Amino acid sequence: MDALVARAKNETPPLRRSWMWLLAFVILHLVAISRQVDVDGLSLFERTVLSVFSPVQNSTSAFADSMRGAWHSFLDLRSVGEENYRLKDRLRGAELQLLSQRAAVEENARLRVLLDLKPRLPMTTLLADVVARNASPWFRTLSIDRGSAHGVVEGATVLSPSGVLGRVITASANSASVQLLIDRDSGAAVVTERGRVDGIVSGFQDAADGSPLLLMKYVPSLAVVAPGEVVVTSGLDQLFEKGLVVGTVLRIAEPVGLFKDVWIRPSASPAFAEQVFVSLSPREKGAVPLP
Amino acid sequence: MKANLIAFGLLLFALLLQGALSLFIPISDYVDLPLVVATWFALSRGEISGMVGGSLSGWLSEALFGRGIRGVSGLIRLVLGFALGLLGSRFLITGALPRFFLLLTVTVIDTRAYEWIAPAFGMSPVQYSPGAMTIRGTINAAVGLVLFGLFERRQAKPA
Repeated sequence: MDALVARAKNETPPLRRSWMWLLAFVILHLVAISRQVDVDGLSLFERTVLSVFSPVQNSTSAFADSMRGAWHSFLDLRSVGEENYRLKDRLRGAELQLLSQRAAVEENARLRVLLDLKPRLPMTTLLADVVARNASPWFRTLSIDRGSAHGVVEGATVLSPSGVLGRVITASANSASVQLLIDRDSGAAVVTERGRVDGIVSGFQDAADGSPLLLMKYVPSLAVVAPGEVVVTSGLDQLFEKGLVVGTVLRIAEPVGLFKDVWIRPSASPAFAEQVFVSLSPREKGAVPLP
Repeated sequence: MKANLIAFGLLLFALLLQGALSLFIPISDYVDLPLVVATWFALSRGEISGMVGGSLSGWLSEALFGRGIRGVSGLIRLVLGFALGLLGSRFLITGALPRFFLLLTVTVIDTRAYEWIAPAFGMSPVQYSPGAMTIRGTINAAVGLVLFGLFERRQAKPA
């Protein structure tokens, strides 16, 4: 019994000390978290971590790319003849498509002149490499190897050749974080290309297979939206430029009250984005980063 | 001191590896390497080291790959590190099955706690369905089990 009491006496202080440490650390964390609530831009901690890690991340990505390149070269050698034939076939198809698209562009230009519309200014963009993709289990983000030193600012639109990917939320000197459109906290004002039905899209996870979709909200119940219809940015949110492809209508929910939900399959897949375009002329210079 | 530096280096390596692998596979949906390393750190070195390791793993992950308010994951992993440290200093958890279930539980608690706390700070994190959560926990626990074996083998090597 005495031995037990003595042992308990010996063990109690370290355990109590641990609890004190835990309490101190918890308070420290709460202070650190609450200090961020009304702080704009990057905190000192974030800036330091990003500055230290971005060169390492860029080198890791470059190494991974070179390894992938070497592996692909090896694989390519094995099927180069067959692929060459297939590519030639696709090229012929693409040439035909290009011809018809050129005709459409010319027709569009003619119509613009006729309608006296101002031609849209081309967006100045910067090419950036993706160095991390959805590395956080909770958010849908990308990290790119271009930052404020290259002219990337918070709020800048990020595009892939097939459409909008998202927008820059934090930019350090040599890297930037991009909030993807498929993130649950993202948002963009959109319009259907044919029916000109307005709405707002944000990230949504398909309950069936967990694939990332977009949910278009505030679509009037009586509005006509058809599956397969292309959805583009409307520019009404002052965040994204007008007319950028967002995705295609997948399915439409039964109307509830005044509105109905529309599910959209995003046209740009971040899963395959290796290089992205970053707009260097965001619509709103002092865009407020999303929470 | 040397062991702490090695553990810190391991944590940084896990973060970089997580980022690099994310370019090829959607790794974050299934595996959380910094969490595995922090768990090992807490189990093998006690509650104080567990708290520091857990907190660092959360903060660094959020600073690099998160958005919005940072520190929520750090806070969750601080408490988890403490609990695991207490557990590790009082029980010898060496069997594959107990370790597997411990890692599975840690993964589920870490993910669900974040899903629960983050909305209080105006963030809407990815919500894992029960099925997806089970798959995530199982794969992370399996990967953790393999890594624990590797760490142990490294520790067992004579200096």
